[in-house]
Amino acid sequence: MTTDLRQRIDRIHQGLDTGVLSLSNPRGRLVPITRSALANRDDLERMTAWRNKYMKWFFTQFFATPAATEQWLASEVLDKSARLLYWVEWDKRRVGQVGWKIECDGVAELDQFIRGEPGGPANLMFMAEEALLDFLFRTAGCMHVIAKVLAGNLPALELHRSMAFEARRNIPMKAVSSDGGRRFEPTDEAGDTYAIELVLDAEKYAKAGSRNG
Amino acid sequence: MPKNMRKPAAEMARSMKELVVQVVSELNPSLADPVQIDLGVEAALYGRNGVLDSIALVSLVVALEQLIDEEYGVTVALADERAVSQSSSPFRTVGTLAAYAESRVQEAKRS
Repeated sequence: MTTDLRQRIDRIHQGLDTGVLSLSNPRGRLVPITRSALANRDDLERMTAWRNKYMKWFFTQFFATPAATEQWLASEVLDKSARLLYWVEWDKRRVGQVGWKIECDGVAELDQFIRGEPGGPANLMFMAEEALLDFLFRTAGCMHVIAKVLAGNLPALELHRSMAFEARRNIPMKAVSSDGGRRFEPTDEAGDTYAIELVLDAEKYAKAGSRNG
Repeated sequence: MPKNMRKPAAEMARSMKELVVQVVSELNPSLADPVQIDLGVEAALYGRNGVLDSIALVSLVVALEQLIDEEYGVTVALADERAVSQSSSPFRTVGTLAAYAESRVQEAKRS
């Protein structure tokens, strides 16, 4: 599963495969972020503004710049064949982003969920997550999908739980100063906060009823 | 009444459902698709069929926590791990949120 999936991610990053996912409402769709975004100042500024707006819910917290976003996008996403990010579009307008990465064979992790700006229905991110899960379980052949969310990120926790994710464990996290900001790292000691790891397996997803099920 | 002043003990505290309805009513003008308060406890809030987006949910929870403090004189955190540990989301409807908040207030009063 993983080799085929990595090859497809590479093709999508290069723009050789559109990889677009439709939402249950045809006015919305998920459009992969490809190498073309690196040369698009508007896209970089958009991603930067969204990340800064919701900094408190990220494991790495710093004031981002378009240059830093470009570097991160190139090195941590587009140069890796294990990770895909998508624009969440409503009427072809970019209003958010979602993403996932291969955690290990048969396991994907959701990440980078941001509802960047108003536009579209209130349940747009629910439709986006449904589309991603349908792809990961039905097309990519994942057996498990996980998500790690900082405590206090209520919208993300409730979003995942509505898809039948279950909290598997709490992970104590300590804050570490880093490059003018801070990042939260797992610790065996008492943490400054904690992350909640949620998991959904293919069987439970099928029983819970996917959007097409 | 200023927000930092609690109600006199002799004054009857309103029900949790009334508090939820108040904060939803105050939030509604800013929503593209307002919460249908006339549906009472069944009015949908957050979820697949909800009308609140993520920002509105956070605003609602913060406002309700403040109002609970003013009304009942107890501090509760509605968005902690106990919310996630519930078998179903307490933020689905006006009724589920009122019931969950009420349970948290009772816990806080006992501790």
